[in-house]
Amino acid sequence: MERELVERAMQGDHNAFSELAAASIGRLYGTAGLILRNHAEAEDAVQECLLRAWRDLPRLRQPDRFEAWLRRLLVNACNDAMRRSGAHRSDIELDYASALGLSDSAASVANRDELERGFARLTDADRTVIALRFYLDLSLADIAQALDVPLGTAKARLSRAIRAMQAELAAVGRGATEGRPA
Amino acid sequence: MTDRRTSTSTDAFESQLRSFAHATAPEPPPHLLDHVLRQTEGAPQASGWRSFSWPVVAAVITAVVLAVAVGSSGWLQVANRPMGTSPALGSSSAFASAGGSSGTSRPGSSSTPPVAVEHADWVRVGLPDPSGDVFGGTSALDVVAFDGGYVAVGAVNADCCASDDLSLDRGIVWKSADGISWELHDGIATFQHARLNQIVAFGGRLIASGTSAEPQVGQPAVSIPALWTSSDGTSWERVQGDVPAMITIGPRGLVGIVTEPSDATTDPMNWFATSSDGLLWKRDSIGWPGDVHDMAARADGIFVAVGASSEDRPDEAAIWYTSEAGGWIEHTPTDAPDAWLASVTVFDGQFFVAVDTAEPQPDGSDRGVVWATDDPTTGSWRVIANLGNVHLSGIFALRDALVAVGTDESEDLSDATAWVSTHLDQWGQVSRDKAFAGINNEVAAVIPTRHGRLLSVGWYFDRHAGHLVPVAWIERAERS
Repeated sequence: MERELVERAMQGDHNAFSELAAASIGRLYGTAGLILRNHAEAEDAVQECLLRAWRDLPRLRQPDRFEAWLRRLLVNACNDAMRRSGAHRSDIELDYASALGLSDSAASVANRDELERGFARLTDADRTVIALRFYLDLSLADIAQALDVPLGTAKARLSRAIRAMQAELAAVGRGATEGRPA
Repeated sequence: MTDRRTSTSTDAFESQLRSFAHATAPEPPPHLLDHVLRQTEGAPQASGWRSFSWPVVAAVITAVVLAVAVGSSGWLQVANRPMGTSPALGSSSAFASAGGSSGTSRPGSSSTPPVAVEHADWVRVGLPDPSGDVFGGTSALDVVAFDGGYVAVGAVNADCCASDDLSLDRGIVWKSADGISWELHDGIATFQHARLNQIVAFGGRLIASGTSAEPQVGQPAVSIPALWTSSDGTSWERVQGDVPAMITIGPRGLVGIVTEPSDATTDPMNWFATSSDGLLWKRDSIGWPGDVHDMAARADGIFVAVGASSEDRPDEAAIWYTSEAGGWIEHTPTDAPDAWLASVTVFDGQFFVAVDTAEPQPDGSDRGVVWATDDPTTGSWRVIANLGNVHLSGIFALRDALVAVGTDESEDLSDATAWVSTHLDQWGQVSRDKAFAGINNEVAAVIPTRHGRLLSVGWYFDRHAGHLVPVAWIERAERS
């Protein structure tokens, strides 16, 4: 079904593209939001991604790879946003109290506030790979494609990002213990 | 032995991250889809995909050279295409943290105050890019000095992003007399379904290693290690038989590691292999499991390979050593199982490993370190440099300098970086030079030029083209 839509969109069928965009926009925005931590920039990145997708769809060689291609466009758009705005993006206020699916045992490892504060303190590169892995549930091969890096590099970046998250959580925990803002 | 994170606790933490990501990812505002669709409706689309036709013979495309005299040094900035970031013209902004020999300190644990070191400016040079509409662009992956000039190899990443078909990739070669102006050699028949990852010069001959993925009818292409030789960098022949996946030059000839890839149930297996000419290879060891990232040889016949273990310690850091014709023995520091060992080299009689410690400090420092040892048989490695918040991907021994490369993560952006050390207690960082700016830039290899400059190749993410373009970085001034 999606392949047919992609092929129609490649031929200039805007209705088909509309269906594809509607089906993808939630995941795209969620990913951009996690990476950029800024509503306005996430919105811009998704717009840029979809505008470029529409423009370049006729060049897509493998319609079956539309989703992977779209992710790559989104990561590139997020990279552009990072470069434009620098390091400080923090206007997303997230509702941790309703953080879904966090079991009591998970919460015992790090509470929800700590998770968010730790995540917010990661580098953009670390947040990107965390979002691709744990929000989009991508394989390492798909992460490598989205980041346009070799598989080994993707593996190293993911490993590093997880360790960074653990370190940030440890730092947040220490800050709380010592009564300092983390 | 250090405490190791069990797979159970790792799984629990990753499960927690997954729940967190899904719970906190924001929903798109209601107007966003309509806004996008209004902008795209009626907007023009690009012309369709151009099928790629292979030329019968190798086409040599000379870069369109834009030459600009820079300063009194007579250095030229050249580019075959407009670049997103101008080469740096300002003063050197080198600054450095550094390590100091620290005896038998535990790898990944030492810390040394910064030491300022001066370094020359670098210029980024565009290599001719044949990728055209290919979405993945082109990467330059290695470079070697040869016949008075330089030869670089790489690949057009046609499998990237819109296809999993590895057979779409093709290997390419660039040649340069001076490291500044580069000629593209594309369409070489034997590289049609290949990637060229590495190149060495040995015995008056160039030897390139990489992979080949012949198209398969009705099933995905399978990538296998491949080797090619050339006497001029223009005409290439593929080496037949059992060839290694990576090669280096040893004291008595070429050495390599033959790897048989894993399937779903087995670990990758490796064999030490030797060759006197690069054409005929012989396996010289029993097979051992592991994921080998790099290897290096010392004049006394000791070899070190770095990578990740498998079997009972999947993905943990591993270092192996051997003497020629001997078996490989794993002797890895046990205090850093999560480290990523990217690259190894020999400099001044010692082995050096570029390490991503995967143990970031709360302030984000001490991610990239360099380990060293003069006796890998002891398994005792010491930290000789803490390079800060950097992801190291390679380390290279040049005539008078050790160079570590990777990406600088210190300001939330992943810019290419290079650290240079002529005295092992002082390291200078050149990544603040604008020539290295840009997300997803990566330095793949570094060599010295015959004029004493450093020449490196890699890739640069052109955000306007939306894909990777091959580049070289070269120092403006000779190293003193």
